[in-house]
Amino acid sequence: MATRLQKKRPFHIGDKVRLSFGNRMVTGTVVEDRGRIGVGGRQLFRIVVKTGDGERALELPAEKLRAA
Amino acid sequence: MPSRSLQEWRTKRTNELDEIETAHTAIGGSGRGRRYTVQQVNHAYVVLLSSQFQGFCRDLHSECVDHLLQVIQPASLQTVLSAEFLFHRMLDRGNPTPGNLGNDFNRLGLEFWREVNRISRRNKNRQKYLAELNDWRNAIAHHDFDPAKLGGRKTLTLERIRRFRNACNALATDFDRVMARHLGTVTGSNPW
Repeated sequence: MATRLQKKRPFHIGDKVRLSFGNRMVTGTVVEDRGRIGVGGRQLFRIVVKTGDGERALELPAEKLRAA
Repeated sequence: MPSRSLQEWRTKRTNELDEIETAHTAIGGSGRGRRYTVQQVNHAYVVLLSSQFQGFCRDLHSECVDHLLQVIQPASLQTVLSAEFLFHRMLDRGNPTPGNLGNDFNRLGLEFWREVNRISRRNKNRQKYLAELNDWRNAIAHHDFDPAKLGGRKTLTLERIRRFRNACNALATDFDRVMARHLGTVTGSNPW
């Protein structure tokens, strides 16, 4: 029987993540998997971060994020 | 090798649009009932075409931003600049109108439509088709068919939609070329 290896996606929609934002660490929420459209086919995630003046959206690869 | 966004436009997105073309040709019967059904399928086709083209343009914009961020130092600024490039991006919530495309891509450091029109004289006309496609998309979505805003037309034909689609295909290729050239100049390396 063939075994199918599934590559685990590092983050899912709704996950809380920590990321460096300038000179501070902030917490954001993954709101969209943008697919493998980054440099060299890397997977991008859309993250929403709450800031003092509202919400800001970013699109970043997994290596810039860690689970909160 | 084209961008990943263009590869997806030419494969997955094209296949999905082809499915609705197939549905169109599969409609049988004759008379008023058929005409009504065909018109509904045409409406669905236009909304889907506008949506798929928006998806392509949004992906291409994201792909370009990721390439630009790669060369930003110090790396701690990359997340801040990502937020700036995406701030109020029209393609996140608006249609892919010529105005919205110019607004979003100009922020990457070029005069987008000037460069696109420089590649081909036919792109000015394609830009008009793109505007008309989105006028139809809005008319359908809001059920407001004002012929004055729809090139004097009240109904939409498959032939017209194919013109919109051909325009989108040609523009997608030229958007890819313009952005590849621009990013190559700005960053010093070819993005794709």
